[in-house]
Amino acid sequence: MTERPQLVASRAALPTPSRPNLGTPERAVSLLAGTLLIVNGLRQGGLKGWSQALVGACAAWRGYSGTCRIKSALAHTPFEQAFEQDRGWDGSKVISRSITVNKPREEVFAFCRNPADLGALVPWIDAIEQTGERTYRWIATGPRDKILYCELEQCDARDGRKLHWIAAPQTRFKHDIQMLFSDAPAGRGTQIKVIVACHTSFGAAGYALAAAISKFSDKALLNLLRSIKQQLETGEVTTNRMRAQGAKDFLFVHPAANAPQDSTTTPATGGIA
Amino acid sequence: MRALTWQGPNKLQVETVDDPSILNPRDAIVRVLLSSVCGSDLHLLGGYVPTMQAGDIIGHEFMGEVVETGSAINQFKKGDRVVTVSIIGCGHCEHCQRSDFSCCDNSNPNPTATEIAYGQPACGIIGYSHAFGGFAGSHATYIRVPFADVNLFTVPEGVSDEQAVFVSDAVPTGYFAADNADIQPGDTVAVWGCGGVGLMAMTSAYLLGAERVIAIDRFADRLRLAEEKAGAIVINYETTDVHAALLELTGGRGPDRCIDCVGMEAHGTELDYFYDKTKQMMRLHTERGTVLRQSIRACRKGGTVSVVGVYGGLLDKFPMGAIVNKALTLRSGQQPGQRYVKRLFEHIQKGELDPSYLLTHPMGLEQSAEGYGLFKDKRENCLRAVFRPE
Repeated sequence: MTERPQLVASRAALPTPSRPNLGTPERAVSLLAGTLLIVNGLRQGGLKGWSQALVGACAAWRGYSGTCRIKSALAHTPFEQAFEQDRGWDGSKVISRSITVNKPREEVFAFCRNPADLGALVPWIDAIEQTGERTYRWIATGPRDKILYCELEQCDARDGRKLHWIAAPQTRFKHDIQMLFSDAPAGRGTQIKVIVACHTSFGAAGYALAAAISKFSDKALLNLLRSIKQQLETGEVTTNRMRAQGAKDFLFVHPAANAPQDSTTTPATGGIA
Repeated sequence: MRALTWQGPNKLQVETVDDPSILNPRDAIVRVLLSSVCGSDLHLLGGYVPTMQAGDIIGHEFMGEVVETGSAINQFKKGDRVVTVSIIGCGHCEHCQRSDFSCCDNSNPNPTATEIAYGQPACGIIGYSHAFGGFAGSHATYIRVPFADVNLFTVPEGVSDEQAVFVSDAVPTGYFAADNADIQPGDTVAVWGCGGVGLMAMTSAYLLGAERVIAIDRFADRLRLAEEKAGAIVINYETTDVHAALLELTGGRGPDRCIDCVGMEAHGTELDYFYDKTKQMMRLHTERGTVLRQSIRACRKGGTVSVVGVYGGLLDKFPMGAIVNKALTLRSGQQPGQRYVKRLFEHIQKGELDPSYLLTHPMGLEQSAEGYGLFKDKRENCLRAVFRPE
């Protein structure tokens, strides 16, 4: 029997009146506030009053039905909850993408385990430095030419099956990146599944910010996976440019030179997830 | 170099642009000798395909000679006379290895738009909008051909430039349409659209064993070509009830195989055409489905409807009930020409197929905007304007 894949990107269940996602106190406050806004709005009249009444009606409905889509959107997915429990994080945003590469698993794994191979395919990465036996510094140029970096440590790799990186201990925002490799059915090559998790702070606001950033990260992750597929299957990454101007000059430093820190260097605050 | 560029809906301009260069090991640079207009370009021209940008070079049906190759290309050398399949395949993904080159996973560098629209990204197509890769087109002095080892083919002796240029798109599209229709001996095949692709589909249907071909259009000159060059029985839909005529011609059964070579800008005389046209003008849907509905309705029970006319998005009033209750098979796709090119050249060499009559208006590249005008308005019996860059 094949291993059942984890569905990382699944949403939390949508609330319905028969399955409310608000507790009794939340419902009572919403109903009361809504009623007050309706009464006050109707008493005031005019555009302002009617707007107030409309907001009040929404709040009253929220209390009456016991359902709130905003709260639902900010609820952590079952996978995120399990992930947080496993890592002891108080919050996380997790994204996942999969792709099938028409090459044997050993070849795909060998390509992906070399950071130089991956870095060359990420347009926004300028360089990767090896800073230790299993630690790498990913360097990118941020807004206003600020140099951003993210230290990642390779850990818990299973040969041919799994690559795993975690953010170095001093990094402000924790990341956990797993790349899982499995054989596609009927000799169709190798399935790569990437799970990127970012530790979120500041409760619901932090989660909402991470969720917004993850829309872009998700796209970047998909682009990276497609580039890996193209490079491995065709030996090149497809382009529609007419000429080579503006081509990226990627640098991989191995091993890391103990170069002095640039004064403009700041730790990456966004991250991948 | 000089190139014909799209500047906006129904605005084309020849201008000077950068020459292309080799960017990847499997690239080739081809000097364009002949580059043809195609019916599918009219969808770009009319603004029906989103993601076009001002300055985009259009054109995807061409032949020429190799002037430079990337480091991984050793089967072609400078001066080789070649034709390029307009639908780009990488040759190595799961789909290309099954010869489904038009489903290629790797040839579209801009996969987002088609992924959103279709669920999975579409392949790259030369000169056919940014949704299909944003590749520079062939109405230019030079063109960069990606994955040249898969998409370039040497034109053999005995095949003229004027024949070879259509092996880039019109001939393989027509042949693919007929092949997809699963034609059996004795079959009657109805083909909607007597443009270049439709005419090639008719000839291909005979090559694949059809007993009779029925052609449907409204332009007298095209119907005449269908009759004279492709041996079809013709129906003018402006003067004939197509459904009734098709039943009449097939003993009440309906055609065994129906081929749609028209696509999203179908014309008609029935109410559904005006409904489609209105919704399309209001941008409420993208396709005019008159031909598709007609072909599904006419097709005999258990028959096949093969669609190669270009559809890009959403269609209203699609007769799904007829498909289910008549057990029809609906097959479609962009042409995987790489599968057919060698076979098509053999047919041409044997004299079984001659697409050169499609070339009605040879012109210079500087007159290409005018050529599109002729082609779009069907003036001077223009079937294909073909440009020869100076």
